[in-house]
Amino acid sequence: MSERLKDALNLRFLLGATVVASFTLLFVFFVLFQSFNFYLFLIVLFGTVTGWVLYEDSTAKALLFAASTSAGTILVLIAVFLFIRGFPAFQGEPLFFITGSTWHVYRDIYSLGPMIWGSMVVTFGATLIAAPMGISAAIFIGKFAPGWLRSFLKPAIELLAGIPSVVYGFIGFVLLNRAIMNYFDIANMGQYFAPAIILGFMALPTITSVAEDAIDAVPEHLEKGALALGVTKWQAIKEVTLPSASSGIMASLILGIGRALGETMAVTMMIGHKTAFPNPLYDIFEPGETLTSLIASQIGEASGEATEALMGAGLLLFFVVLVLSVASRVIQSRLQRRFKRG
Amino acid sequence: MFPPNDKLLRRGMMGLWLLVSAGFLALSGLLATNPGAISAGIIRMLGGVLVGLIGLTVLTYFLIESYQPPGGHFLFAVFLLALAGVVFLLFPDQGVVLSNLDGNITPKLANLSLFLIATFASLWNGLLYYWENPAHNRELSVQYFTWLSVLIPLGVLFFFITYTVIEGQSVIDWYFISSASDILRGKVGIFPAIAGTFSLIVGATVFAVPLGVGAAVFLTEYAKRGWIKQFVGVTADCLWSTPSIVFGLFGYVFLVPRITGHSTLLAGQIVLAAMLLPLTIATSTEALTSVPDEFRHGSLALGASRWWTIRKVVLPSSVPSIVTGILLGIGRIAGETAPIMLIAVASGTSAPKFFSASAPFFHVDALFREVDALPYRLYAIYKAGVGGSIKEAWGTALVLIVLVLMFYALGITVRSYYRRKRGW
Repeated sequence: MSERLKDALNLRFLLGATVVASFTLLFVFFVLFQSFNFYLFLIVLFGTVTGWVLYEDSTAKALLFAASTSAGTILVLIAVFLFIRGFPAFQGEPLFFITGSTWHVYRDIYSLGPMIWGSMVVTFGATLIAAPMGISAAIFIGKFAPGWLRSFLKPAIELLAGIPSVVYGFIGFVLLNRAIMNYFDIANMGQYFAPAIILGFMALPTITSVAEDAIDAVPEHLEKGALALGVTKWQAIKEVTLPSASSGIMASLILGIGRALGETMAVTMMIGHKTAFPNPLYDIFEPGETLTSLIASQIGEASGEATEALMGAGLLLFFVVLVLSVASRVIQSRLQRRFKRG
Repeated sequence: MFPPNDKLLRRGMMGLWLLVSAGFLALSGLLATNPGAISAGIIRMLGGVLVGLIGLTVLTYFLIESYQPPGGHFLFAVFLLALAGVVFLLFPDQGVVLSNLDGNITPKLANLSLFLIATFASLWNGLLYYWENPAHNRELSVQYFTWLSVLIPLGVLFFFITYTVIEGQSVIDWYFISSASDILRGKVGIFPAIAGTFSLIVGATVFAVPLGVGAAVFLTEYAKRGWIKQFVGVTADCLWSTPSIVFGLFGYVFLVPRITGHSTLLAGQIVLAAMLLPLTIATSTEALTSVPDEFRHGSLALGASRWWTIRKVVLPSSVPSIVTGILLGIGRIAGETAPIMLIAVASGTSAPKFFSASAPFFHVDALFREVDALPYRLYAIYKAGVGGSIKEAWGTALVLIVLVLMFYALGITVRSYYRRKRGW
């Protein structure tokens, strides 16, 4: 028996493996049989406590390992269960489900085209506001603000993300929707325009904090080198810092877009809930619907095929945001690797 | 090369654009007060003038050598303005399509485009000023722009909070906070919602913190291979950016049938815990990584085992940062509505009763009932039609904002206090 195998098979490892395995068993039981088996739980608890008393170190390590898989487990569960419930909606006519123009509950016709368009319009508008402002706010906080101001501004921007989205939605509904209705003299309360503005301010903190991290991560000697050559601070930022941080800033934009795409309550409260394409297509003052607001406003009363279609919408949303966040992660890690090497 | 006195031309261009932006602002104001004041022909003419001006500017840009090299934003601004000009040219009567309730004709698109053009033209002037001036003046221009983009969001934040305080403070009294609504006496109280939100938060914290901190400890102290770290990092990121409504759907299809089949407090707690988890993992990992290795080496050199080192040295010295992260995370999830809407809440329920003065003192079955929650209450008022109970809605919003602010203030206080106190 090789040395490594012997190491691996010692009692402590077995104990740890048992703890993890019993947790897995309990968990699988919960997932598959739709019930929480109390006796199985007692057995697992007893085993864990015994292990803790006898071999605290290895039991702790095993428990910590189990904890570290929790995020992945939840993610997989979300993916699997959304897929099981939502995939049937794509099976019939996948192209019609995504691009068709009718969502009609009473006639049982479901396609997400208008909602996808609405999500795109609202997200684009939000990005138009959040991206320039968020990035230049990151530049100010990271480079121009003095220390005391910086330690005040960072939590203040964080707080902007902390205001609950339902409060944004309520304030937006009462103030902004009405103001726009009056200013542009529009007959309807909810449009694409108002939620896009509010969403811009909601996505801004994400962009600012991630972009600021990226700007911070650029080694100081790069900028110092430029300054030593006699350029001004802004020239150094523009020519050295920003290009070096560009991939991080790109990642922040992607994250911000994902945030705006997935934002639910504010949009639900401010949009007009009309599940059809605006006419003409670029009219941002017509009532509309986004993927998130569709789910939030209809899932409560939905049944049968409608639930399936809403789950399909949720699956689509989840998948798109997942791709966005993985992409931003890849870009960010590329940035980190670059500075580790260089 | 092209005109000998190019400085004059540059100034001229700048003045022209100033005039254009002022003109568009004025037009925008005119249309806001008197829709339909401008006919389609004039709008088309404006589009033509705009496209012509852009052509002139681009020409100048390429012909004058001493223009300092502008970046991509020049082309971007040109593109946007050209777009607006083309819209004017091609769809001059677009705005005349819809009429509002009074039968007035509303040039929607034209008005919006004018508004946007006015904004961008002003920005354009800022940029021209930027190109015009020597480097140390540019510095000022840039600082001004970046400062502005911090001020605007903060101004919005300040405005929202102040407005909520002004509108909400009139309904807030002791009864509002400490009691349930009494329909017979016509008094409104949101105590059940406050209690429900607190029980959701406490449950979520109880579930998420051991898992999150445990994961962070495993990542920083045990995981040798990079891929485990990568894997947990990626999954936590994905979980963090997953839309809240998707969490709600997940709870709806996964948790609800497995717990009781209807909305329960427990389901809400678990789903909120799933939302809190990635934040806890991220902040705890950061906190644990910032503990200097000398601490660990010192403990290990004294013969302590790795787990003992974690328990007695690493965790205690990183507790403040972990607590900060958790408090900020709680501030985030306290206001979540979408995930609990389907699985945990119902309006008009009474406050969850966990404790009683007589035996049994603790009631587990409160976990399996519906609760009310502050954010849901606000949404329910909106859904029922804001008109009648708008004061109550503002009061609820105010209490919710104060709650969230409290957690933020607490977290930031803990952070700054220990940052000053700790020795490394």
